[in-house]
This record gives sequence, structure tokens and C-alpha cells, in this order.
Amino acid sequence: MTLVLAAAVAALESGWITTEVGRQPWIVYGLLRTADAVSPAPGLHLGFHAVVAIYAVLTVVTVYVLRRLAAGHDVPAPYEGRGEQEPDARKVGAREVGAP
Amino acid sequence: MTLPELLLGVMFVGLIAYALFGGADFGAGIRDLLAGGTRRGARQRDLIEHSIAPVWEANHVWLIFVLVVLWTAFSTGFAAVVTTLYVPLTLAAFGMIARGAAFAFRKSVTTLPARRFFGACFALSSLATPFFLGTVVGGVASSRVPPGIAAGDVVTSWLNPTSILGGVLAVLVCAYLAVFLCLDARRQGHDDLADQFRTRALGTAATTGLVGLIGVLVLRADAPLLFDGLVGRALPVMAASVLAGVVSIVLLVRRRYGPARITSSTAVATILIGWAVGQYPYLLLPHLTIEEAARSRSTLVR
Repeated sequence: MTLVLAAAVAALESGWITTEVGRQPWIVYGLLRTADAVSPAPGLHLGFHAVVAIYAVLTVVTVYVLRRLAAGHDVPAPYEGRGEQEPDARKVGAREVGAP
Repeated sequence: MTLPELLLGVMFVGLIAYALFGGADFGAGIRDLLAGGTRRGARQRDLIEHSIAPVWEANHVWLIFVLVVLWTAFSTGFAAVVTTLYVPLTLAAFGMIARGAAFAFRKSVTTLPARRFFGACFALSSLATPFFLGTVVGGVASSRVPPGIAAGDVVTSWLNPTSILGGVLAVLVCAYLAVFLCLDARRQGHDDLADQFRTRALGTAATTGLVGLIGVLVLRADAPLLFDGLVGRALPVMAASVLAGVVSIVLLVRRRYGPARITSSTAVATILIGWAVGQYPYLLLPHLTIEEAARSRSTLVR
């Protein structure tokens, strides 16, 4: 089962890489070259590094959160479940944990 | 009214909707940041989460709508804006990513330290996104975005007096739009919470008015073309905005939260309309007119 999940992701990513790499050096095949399409603005590589860093952090946090949820540590925070404000606090939102 | 003007009008309807819904949403995030200590602010935070739940992420549909109309109908203007101002636009997008992720993670992880951390991310990105979008408006409004691909300065186009004014005003307007929360709080029978939101809204309204006054001087010095438009053709619109703002404050003082919603929305919408009227007929001051930016008629009609 785990193997199937990994295979699905691998198939998806491989497909993307095939289309993106396969049409180089064209960004619009036969009409516009990637080198001509790229913005000449300076400092674009900084944006790329920032995106990589943000997605790395999001990946780590997602894995951490999912593992926590799987391990069953999902208990209400102190201010939600206990304490003198509890009845009011629940009434305001009347929401369930995990609701969108 | 010509076809390009009609399309620009439609785009502005989207922009106003984004400012009102998205702004109220970011305002809720700022309120969340200012709600106070973990325990003291808990009830405010719960109400905020409940109030923005139906709209909070769907707001970005309006922004996407605006961008799609821009690049379809006014491609040359769009290309100039996004290449010259790519830094604040990217930072605004990072704010949206961090905000959505933090809000979702905060719901999933319920231990207190983790919730505090994600809550802070959520609130800080609510500050960053409107600020950077405001700097983009400031860059366009102060004639710093020439037509062409990355033709403007990528730093000074958004780090300048008008952009800073735009950013600060955007954050203040968002914080003020949390005035919507007053009525929500009262409807749910939390009159004390409504009073807290009311006090904050009054404070923000006063600050926004003050910054607006300073802004007049900033625009006169830094964005003379827009300033001429604002005190010329757009003067009635700006006067309507000030009037709506003053009426909102009076209604808030008298705890008429329902009508205050309408006048507050009017005040914010008229700021944006005033900007558009003040710039007319230019899409990018002082080089590119609306007509010039909308070259390809076939795309507009289909």
C-alpha cells in the first residue's frame, strides 16, 4: 500500500519532468525560447531560493503535524478545554477540531 | 464608455471585493495578533475563527480574477507591473502561503505552544500581505512603473514614500475592516467582545484618518501626477470617502454596528475608486493609457 502511494507520486513527478525538460529550449514550442521569455529583472534567483526554503519548511511541518495526529496527541489546548473561560469559549465558535 | 474602460471597471469591482472581503479577513488576522495574551485573547480568537471561516481562503478568488482580467485585457500593463514589482508581489504571495498553512496547521495541532507559534505566523502574514500589496499600488500610483519588461527599478519602485504610505494604509484599512466583527459578536450575544472590537475599530479609524492626512502631503511631494488627479477630478470621490469614514465613526460610537458595516465598506471602496479616477486615463502613470494597454481587441471581445 505504501509502495503504491510512492509509485503514484513518482509517476506524477516523472510526467511533469518529461514535459518540462522535453520541450526545452522552447517555453512555447516552436514559438518562444525559454531564454527569451525569462524576466531580465535582477535578483530572481533569491526568489527561487526563498520558494525552496519555504516548501522545505512546509514539508517538514506537514510531516510533523500528520505524525502527531496519527500518534493521537490531539488533545485540546489548555485554554480551550479547561479553565474558567471554557463554557463561553466553546459557545462562541461551536466548532469541531479539524473543521475547515 | 469604451470597451477597455468597461473591462477596467469590471477589474476594479473585483479589486474592491478583494479589498472588502480579503481586507476584512486580513483585519481579522491583525486583530488575532492584537487580541492579547493566550488566555485573555482566547474568546476573541474563537470569534475571529468562527467569523472568517466561511470566507477566509475564498477571498483570493477575487485577486485571481483581477490578475486574469489584467493579463488578458491589459497585457502590456500587466507585464510591466509584475516584472518591475516582482519583489513585493512575491512577498505578498509568501504571506498568503504562510497564512493559509499556519491557519490550517493551527487547527490540526491543538497543543498550546504549537498553536501559539502557528497563530503568530497567521497573524504576521496578515500584516505582510496587505502591506506588500499596498506598496505595489504605491509604485504604480507614483509613476515608478514604466511600460516594458522589468523597465523600472526593482527596489525603489516599491521602497519609496508613496509605497510605504500605500502599505501602511492597506494594513490600517484591513485592521479597521475588522469592524465587521462587532456585529458578529453582538449577534452571538457577546456584547463585551463587541465593545472590545468597537474600541479597537475606533482607534484604528482615528489612526487611518491621521495617516490619510499625512498621506496628502506625501502624495503632493512624491506622486504629483496622482495628487493632481485626486484634488482635481477625483475630489468628489475622496470627499465621499472622508464623509463615509466620519459617519462610520459616529455610528460606531452609537453602537449602530449594522449601518457602520455599510459606511465602512463605502469608505474603503471609495478610496480605491478615487485612486482609479485620479489616475484616469492612465493605467501606468505617466506613460501608458488604458487604451494603449488594451491593444488587442479580439481578446477583449471574445
